[in-house]
Amino acid sequence: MSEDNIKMRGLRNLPILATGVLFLVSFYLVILKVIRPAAIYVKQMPVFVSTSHAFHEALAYPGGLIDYISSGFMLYFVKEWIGALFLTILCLMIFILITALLQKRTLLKGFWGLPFLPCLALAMMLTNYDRPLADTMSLTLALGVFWITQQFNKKSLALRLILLFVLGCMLYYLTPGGFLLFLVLIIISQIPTLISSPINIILIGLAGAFAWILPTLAYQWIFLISKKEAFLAHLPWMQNHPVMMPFILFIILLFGSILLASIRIEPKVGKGNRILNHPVTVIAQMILIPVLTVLLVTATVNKTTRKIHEIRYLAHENRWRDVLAAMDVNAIRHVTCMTLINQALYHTNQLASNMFAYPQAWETSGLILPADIAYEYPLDHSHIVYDMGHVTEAERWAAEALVLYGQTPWVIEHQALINILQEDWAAADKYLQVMGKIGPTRERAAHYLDIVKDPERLRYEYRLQQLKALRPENNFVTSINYPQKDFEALLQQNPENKMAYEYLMAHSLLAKDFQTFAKFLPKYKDFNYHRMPRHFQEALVVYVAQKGKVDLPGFQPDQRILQRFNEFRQVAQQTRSYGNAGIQQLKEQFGDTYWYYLIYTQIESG
Amino acid sequence: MANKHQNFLLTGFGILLLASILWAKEPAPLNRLPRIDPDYTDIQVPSNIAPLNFRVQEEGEPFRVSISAPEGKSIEIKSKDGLIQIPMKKWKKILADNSGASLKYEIEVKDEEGWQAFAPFENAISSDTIDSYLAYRIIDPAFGLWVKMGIYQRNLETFDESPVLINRITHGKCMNCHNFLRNDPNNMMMHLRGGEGSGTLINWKGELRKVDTGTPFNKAGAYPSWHPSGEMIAYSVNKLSMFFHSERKESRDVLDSASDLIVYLIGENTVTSDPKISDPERMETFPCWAPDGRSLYFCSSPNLESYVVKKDGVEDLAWDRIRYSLMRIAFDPDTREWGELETVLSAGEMDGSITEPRVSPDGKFVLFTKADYSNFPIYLKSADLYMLDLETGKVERLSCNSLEADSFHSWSGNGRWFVFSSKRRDGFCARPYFCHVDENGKLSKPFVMPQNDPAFYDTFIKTYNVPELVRERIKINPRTFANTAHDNSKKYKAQLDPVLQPRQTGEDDDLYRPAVQ
Repeated sequence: MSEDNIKMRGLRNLPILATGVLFLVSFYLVILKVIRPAAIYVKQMPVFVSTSHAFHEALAYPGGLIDYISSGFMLYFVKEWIGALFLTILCLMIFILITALLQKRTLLKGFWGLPFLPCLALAMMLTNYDRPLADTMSLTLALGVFWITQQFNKKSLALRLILLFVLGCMLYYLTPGGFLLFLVLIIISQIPTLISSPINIILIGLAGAFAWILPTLAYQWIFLISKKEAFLAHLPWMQNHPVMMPFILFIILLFGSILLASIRIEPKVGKGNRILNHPVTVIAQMILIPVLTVLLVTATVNKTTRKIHEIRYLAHENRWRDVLAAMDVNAIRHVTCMTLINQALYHTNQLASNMFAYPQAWETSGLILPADIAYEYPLDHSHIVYDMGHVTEAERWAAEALVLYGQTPWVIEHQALINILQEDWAAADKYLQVMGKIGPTRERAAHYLDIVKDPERLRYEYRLQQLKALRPENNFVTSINYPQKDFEALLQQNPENKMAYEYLMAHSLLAKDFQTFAKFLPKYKDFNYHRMPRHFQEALVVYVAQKGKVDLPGFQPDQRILQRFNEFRQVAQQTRSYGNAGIQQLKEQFGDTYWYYLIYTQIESG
Repeated sequence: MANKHQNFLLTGFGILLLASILWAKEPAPLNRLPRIDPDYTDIQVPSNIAPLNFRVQEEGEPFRVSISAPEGKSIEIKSKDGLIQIPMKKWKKILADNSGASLKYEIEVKDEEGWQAFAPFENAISSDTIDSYLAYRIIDPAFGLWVKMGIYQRNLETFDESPVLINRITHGKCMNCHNFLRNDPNNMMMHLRGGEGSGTLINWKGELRKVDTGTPFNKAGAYPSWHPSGEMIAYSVNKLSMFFHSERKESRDVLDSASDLIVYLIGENTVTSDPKISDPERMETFPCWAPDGRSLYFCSSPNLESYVVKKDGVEDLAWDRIRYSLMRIAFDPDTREWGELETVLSAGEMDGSITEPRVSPDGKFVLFTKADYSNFPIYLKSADLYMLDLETGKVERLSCNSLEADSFHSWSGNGRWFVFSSKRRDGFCARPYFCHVDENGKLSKPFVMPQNDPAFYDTFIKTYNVPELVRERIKINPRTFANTAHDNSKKYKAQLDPVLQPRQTGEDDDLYRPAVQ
């Protein structure tokens, strides 16, 4: 090949390379900034413990190995750039495979943007947060094995059949869904060849039979799995999630490309090719593909899911100010998010003075989750009660989290700390042994193990010391359905438990329980507030107004609060006849007050 | 010339050998036992048990372990990290050759001062074999939720574990209370709970069927006991609920608010009972037939209302005063008539609550659990095993107990071994422990079920639930169990004995709930 030819070829490939780079950069950035690997991590709660038992358990069913490996990679998604990089590398592999499959296919010459299209659909698939890594690995494997078989297209049918069987079995064990996809690709790619090689009908028929027989054998004889798992594991319809559209798009684009590529037509330098190779078309493709990636991902990302898990992630990292900054309309729609926002308000010293500046439409459920919802978000709930020193209750919900999510790093570490607080060294040791088998938590496990070996070291752990001091000393029967009873009991046993106090007061305000509020109001003096917190004053004004005369000597609201209350009453009276417009006006002026919550929040949410 | 060289080499080699012998020091004796985990020191082992692999938890490396016995070759093992995995064949041979004798373990470690030898310890090899299989449920340390669970069988002679049924193939159902007719895997039962497919799977006389034991008289049965004739199963019918404590290491607790006993006549597909075992004034639970089938042991407590007390003018339940006594009622298997009801051991005289009575196969002993209160000993640290000698009436707290919950025991078919669940290792995961009992009721030190990986229990955060010894492998395929559970044509709806009147039964409920994911 002459130097000029090489140069010419290099120049021809330049737009493809440039588009590839632009696409990958945009793909990486949308994963990092729009989809957010941290949100994927929280949604997935990956379980990867490097013990022989966990490994053998993963090998016990088809697809288990991919699940295990992908969970191992996903542990690193908390470092978001790593998560985005993993997914981008997989996307690059899929792109390379599709390009390789379409190469030299004459009909598509010039339309070099084609391999990007399934990748674009792949980017959209990742916006649903359901098992993105395992499923993408499965797709990559399916395409990889398909590519290998394509290299033997000109070999004898017998060899191809053997290859199909051997590779198919291996692929099935790795990913049943990928196996199904692989066989469909085989069938699609062989259909156009039937005219020239009718014998290929045997390959098509056997591929179809294989797609049915192997999963059937798997669930009826070989593995203890369900029928659905045997056929579809790693395909999006394993999950009950509206992820189907991007997946269907991916499949259509992929199958369509393969089908078109399989139709062998002699090259004709016609008008179509000239248009495709025109510099304007080339530049348009270069710009359009990355732009479409950003636009489509931004449009399809499940914003509510992302927000919920983003907030859960920030709360887990104790980044309370970031939790409040991340709050938006998507967050407050979710009751668990609301409890985390209230937890953030407590940790930033705003619960008693500013909680009603945040929509409290979930009422008491937005402060502390009721049992039914706590069972769905046990780890988040556990952290809230843990923060107030209710350690056994935290252990209970951490145990539920262990059942629900498995041995995730967060759950195991939380359990280890709970048991350290309880001075249950044997149990703490056990959790720490497991933690030591989870890559990213090894160092912390070693640190805590030092405490288990020498409990004196606990003295140097300020946070743990604080929590230990809050633990109740006398037993009482807990009650998630009446959380105020638990707050009261915690406070009674430890009068310095500020979180229990603020939660008790917040609960009474949200529940409009003025009796409890009045009973515990005098205790605010024990907690070094500069003055009575604003919402307490606002509630006190209402309480006094309701009761006429109350026996709370020395508890006088500020003049400013009284004045604002009078204004509120006036405006409320004036706007009463304006309907929703009136309420809106009132909300603008007094939406951050307890009075507004007391009268209008129920109307709004109801 | 060649001979000269040979002689020279041989002389050199001889000198080196002599020097190494002269220089090699005898290991320095340490006058203490080595720390090993699991603790297999000075125990009694059945001659058919799998190798007791262990880990030496001492400083230094490498380690040398010698296991010797009067007959045959000793087993020599070297280990760099202290993990001692005994070769299966050599282990089997040494046990087989020395039944009734003892194994001697000598452990040495090399530290900075050279080789050190720990005091040797022994394992007595009992000629009493243990049932070859152990069936158990493996679950997460459950509070309220379940996701994954399964009933498994472990070959105690090897390390093979295989599923009897896992809920991956039963639409995620809860499964529990697997039980066998006199340790026979061919006659067994288990419950499945949680939605469609729920019921009791009974394999009886070669037929696997699903039974709904609920009738207008009772909810579905729970704790079972198979009558020695194989013709009937006694069940308790419970209404359990969980509550939680704020300050104790085991925060879970369970309350039974109503319970009775019923008897399911398998051949007639009929549920029967008697006012003496289903008294509305009392809560009866944990049935256990005597081996001759002529009496039924069970536990009984006054009903829940009797524990309601007034505290500061408010009614409160004194849950920590709920105590069960051990009862016995005569039964004629031929006429199916119930006889005298008697209190065998009262809660008062035992100063605690008696649960889970299990009569030994020879009918001489009743092994039971005693805890401070309640009927759910697995969640109570105070739960310990006790043995009642039925001939002398003597009750003894067993030496195999620990500071953690010890409960859920099961006898081997020959009555010389029993298995029980103990949380002694970490306080929250139950592990199966085995104990030998001689004909006088004398116990050996218990030992935990051996594992191929000696460090297995360190990182296995699951609990072994309801261990039951079984003579041989359960041959029914897990899929057969699952298919039967979902095949309504194999479902039997139990009939109520016409002598019984329907009564308020309430909804079938479960202590645990499936997770919503």
